Amino acid sequence: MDETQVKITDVTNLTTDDPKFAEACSSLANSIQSEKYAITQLVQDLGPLLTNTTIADREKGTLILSLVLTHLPNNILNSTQLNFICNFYSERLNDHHQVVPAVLRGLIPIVRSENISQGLSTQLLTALFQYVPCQQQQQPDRYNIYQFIKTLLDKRKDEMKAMGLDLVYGVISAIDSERDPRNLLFLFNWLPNFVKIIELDFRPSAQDEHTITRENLADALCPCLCALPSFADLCIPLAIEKLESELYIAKLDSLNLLINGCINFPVETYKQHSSVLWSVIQKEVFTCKDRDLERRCLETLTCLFRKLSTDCSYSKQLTKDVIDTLKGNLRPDAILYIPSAKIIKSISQASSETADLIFKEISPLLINMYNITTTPSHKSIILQQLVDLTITYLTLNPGISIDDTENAKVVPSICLKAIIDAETQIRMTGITSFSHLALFISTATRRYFYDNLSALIVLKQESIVREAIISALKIYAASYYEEIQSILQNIQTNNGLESLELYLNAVGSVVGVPQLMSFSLSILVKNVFGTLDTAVVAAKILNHKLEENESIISKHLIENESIVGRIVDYFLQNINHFNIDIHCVFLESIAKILMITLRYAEETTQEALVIQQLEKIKFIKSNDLHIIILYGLLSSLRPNTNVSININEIVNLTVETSASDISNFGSELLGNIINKTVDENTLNERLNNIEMKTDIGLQHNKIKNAIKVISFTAKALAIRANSHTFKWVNKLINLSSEYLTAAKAFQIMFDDANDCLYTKNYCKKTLLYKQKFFTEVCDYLVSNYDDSKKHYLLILGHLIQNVPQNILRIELKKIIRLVLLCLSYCEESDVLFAVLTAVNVIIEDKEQLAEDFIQEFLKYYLKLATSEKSMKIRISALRGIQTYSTYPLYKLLPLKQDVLMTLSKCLDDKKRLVRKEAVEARSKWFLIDAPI
Amino acid sequence: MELENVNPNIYSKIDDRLITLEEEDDDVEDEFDAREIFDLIRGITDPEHPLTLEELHVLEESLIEVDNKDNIVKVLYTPTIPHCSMATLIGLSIRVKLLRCLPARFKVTVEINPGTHVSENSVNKQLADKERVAAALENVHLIKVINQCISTK
Repeated sequence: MDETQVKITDVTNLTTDDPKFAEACSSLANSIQSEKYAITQLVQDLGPLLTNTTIADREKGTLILSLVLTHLPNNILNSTQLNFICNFYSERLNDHHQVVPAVLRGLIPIVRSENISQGLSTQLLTALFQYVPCQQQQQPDRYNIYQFIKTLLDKRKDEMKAMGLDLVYGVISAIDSERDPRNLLFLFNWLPNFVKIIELDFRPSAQDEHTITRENLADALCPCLCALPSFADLCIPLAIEKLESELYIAKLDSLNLLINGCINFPVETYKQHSSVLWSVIQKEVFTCKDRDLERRCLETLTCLFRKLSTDCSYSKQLTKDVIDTLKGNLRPDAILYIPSAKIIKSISQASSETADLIFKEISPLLINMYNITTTPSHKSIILQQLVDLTITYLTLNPGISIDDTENAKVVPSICLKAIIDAETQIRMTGITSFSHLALFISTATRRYFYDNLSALIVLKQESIVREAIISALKIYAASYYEEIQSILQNIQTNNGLESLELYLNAVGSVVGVPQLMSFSLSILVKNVFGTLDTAVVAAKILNHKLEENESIISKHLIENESIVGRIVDYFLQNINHFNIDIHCVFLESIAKILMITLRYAEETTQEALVIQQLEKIKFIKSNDLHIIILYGLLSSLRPNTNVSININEIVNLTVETSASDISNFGSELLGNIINKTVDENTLNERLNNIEMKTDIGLQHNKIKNAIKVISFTAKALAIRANSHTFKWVNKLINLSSEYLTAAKAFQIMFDDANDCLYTKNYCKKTLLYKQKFFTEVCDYLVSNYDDSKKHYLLILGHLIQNVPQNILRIELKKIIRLVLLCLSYCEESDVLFAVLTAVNVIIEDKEQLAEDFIQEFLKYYLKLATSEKSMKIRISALRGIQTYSTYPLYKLLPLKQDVLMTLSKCLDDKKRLVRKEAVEARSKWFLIDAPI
Repeated sequence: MELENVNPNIYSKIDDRLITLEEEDDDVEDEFDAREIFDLIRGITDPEHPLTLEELHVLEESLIEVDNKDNIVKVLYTPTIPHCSMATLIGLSIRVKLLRCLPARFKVTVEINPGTHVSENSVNKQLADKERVAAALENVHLIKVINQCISTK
């Protein structure tokens, strides 16, 4: 006993804020559980505190008791003890408001106890309702109250029900005007048992970390409103009222309510309100401009009619009425045609009956209208609607085949006729519609379509028709691959290369269908190794398909077609027929096919394949074209493969060549190799080699080639963040004072179009290399600029051209002086255009700097817009001026008159495209501060 | 307010003007033509509907004349119904839009397409009267509506 005596003073001596307080209470509970200490003893020991006249002491005593109770298991207290405690707690609820929170904490464990006798819970709850005004408590205490009520309803449902209206009144007064989102969320989740419509007026505070949005609340409230069928009589009129209001959100909420209500609400209520609902929603669809709202309205109509279709005759009558109302709008030139057509489509999706009825009523009308309309755009809208309704009809009535019904039967034949129409748009719609019907078309009708399709595949068409043909082919291939394979096999391409290209394109398009991949690739590969002319066409398409689906296709090509060896052989056989100026695209294609197929091979396979091929091509070392095949073989090697590379040879050919395409390939390849060279010594050796050769090139009038090699070397080093980078960049900066191409080379630094330096090709790319590079170069330019170094402005312009916007934004403040100088001095129109484009984006994003320098920028922009020679630049400047019109009024007003005056000169520009932008700019500036 | 014409016919818009090689050539001078003027004003919206004057066939390219040498632009427009009370407002919107978007050298005339409106003459007269147009633009409510019509595209 002594031991526990010590313990109780331990607890009572602690303050309630002490972290050890809760711990001490829990150990008291443990001793009660292990029967070292009795609960009656505890109450007795706490007596002086519990009955103390000081409020704080009473609070402490109660809190200790409550916490101990919380830690006790549900079955430890017997009913006499509980009886006593309950009576005590009921009285304490009437205590000073400071004590009440401590009392509230003890309520939940009490009612959770198993031995609590009948009537005690009611007593507690009544006391709570009587003495504690819930909404005057703090948020956590309110939460405890709700938890308490919830526990009571879970555990003592029958007893609670017996309270009847008192309970409902008590709960409602407790939760009424609750505003805290956390409590609201709890209540909404719980209330489906116990609903009260709570007026929502809540804005989430920005600082709250656990922000609950209005949507969360609305979403949680909706199931409450729809929880019981009997709520329907209140909810549906409420929804109608909200739908008629002007508020966008109210409309969306009420549509949600109507949709969710369909689950529980009785159909009778919907029937009762159906005509009002229909007219309100119809009006909304006809007038609303918002896509989301319109979509939601249409969904609601579908749900509504689905609900109503449980009463067959009623739904039939209503659908008929709707059809009669909307029929009049079905003239394709009427403004209400499109919304009416949408409504009809949504209603037909509701059930098999509505689909049936609408299809039978509307389709003859549409077919008739289609036949008498002449305008192509109208014809295609009608056809689309007809096909939509047919698809819905057939999907919802799975027993019916398309050939069973009179009206459905004609739809495919209308589409087939449209496919051979003279008008492009109708042809396109015909093909698309027929492909949408794919699942419903009979074998015989499909054959007609295939006849057309095989003719269309090899016929040159407008691009939209061509796209429709290809997508139709894909859709049919997915469902009927054997049929498509057989038609593709039987197509003849006698009419020259153009039809061959179209044919191969179509064949390539089905490569994504697993059953057709092998077939499709075998045809493409066969053509790649045909005559040079067919190879040119086929290689382009094969390369394209490879790029779309690299890993699967390249695996297939290596395993089943031994593509690498065959390409190299083919290349060697035809090397004398190749001319880099004519066949550049083709050579690039085959190099890329090699690169991509090798990319996915394992290290050992790569090694074996590449060493074997290098052996074959060593006889053509002196030929320029050698570089291209090396590009294909070496670019995608994994870094650790053991393949010896002769860098000397590549640099020599690249610098010496007279074909600029070859030097492009060579420089990219060199960049790739330098980037992937792991060993530091080898790297130094290779760099020295390149430096030596390029120096010679610069002296011997191979300046462009040498600069290209230098720039790709610099880029390769920059990407791997190598310490040599700046030495090479410096070379370029110095060269640019003499040669424009050197300044231009800075463009490629951020240009991701060089496939060769991709990480896909196992190049080493460090994080944030772009940012690091840009910062370093900018720092150098800004600190070393003086009036004699105008080429720095050019370099900056070229750098800006491709640098990612977010990086530019970070550095902008530093370089803004140079940017402004560039706008006023630069004479290279490409550079000027690049700078304008970059600055325009910054103006669009309303960067603070753009606002701070508005006067300077506008001054240069207006000058460029009126006097610059190139129209491209005048247009770009005018676009910037347009964007500025959205800036804060106080910045714009002082400048408005000047801008309008200057712009009036641009209205008479000699180029129409410039005038168009000037008009736009002037209109916008006119509206600044104008009444609107 | 009750709409005068609830379900007007709408017509498709013409495609955007194709940019020709000459237009992209810096050295060729492009003259103003009817299509350019049409492009300036076809996006003006009807005060009653959220539709453009082009979609309602109030404006048509064939009813616009341009004389570059003599600096004359003449626009005829067709109200959707003969007793349309918005006819003057539409005419005024076209005038204001052209006033802001054409070089000052042009003399602009905006008139109703003959025979398409009951009070054609009086509307034409109002639109031709510079002082009345200027006075109308002083009216805050009026300029507000006009700004709305010509600002949305």
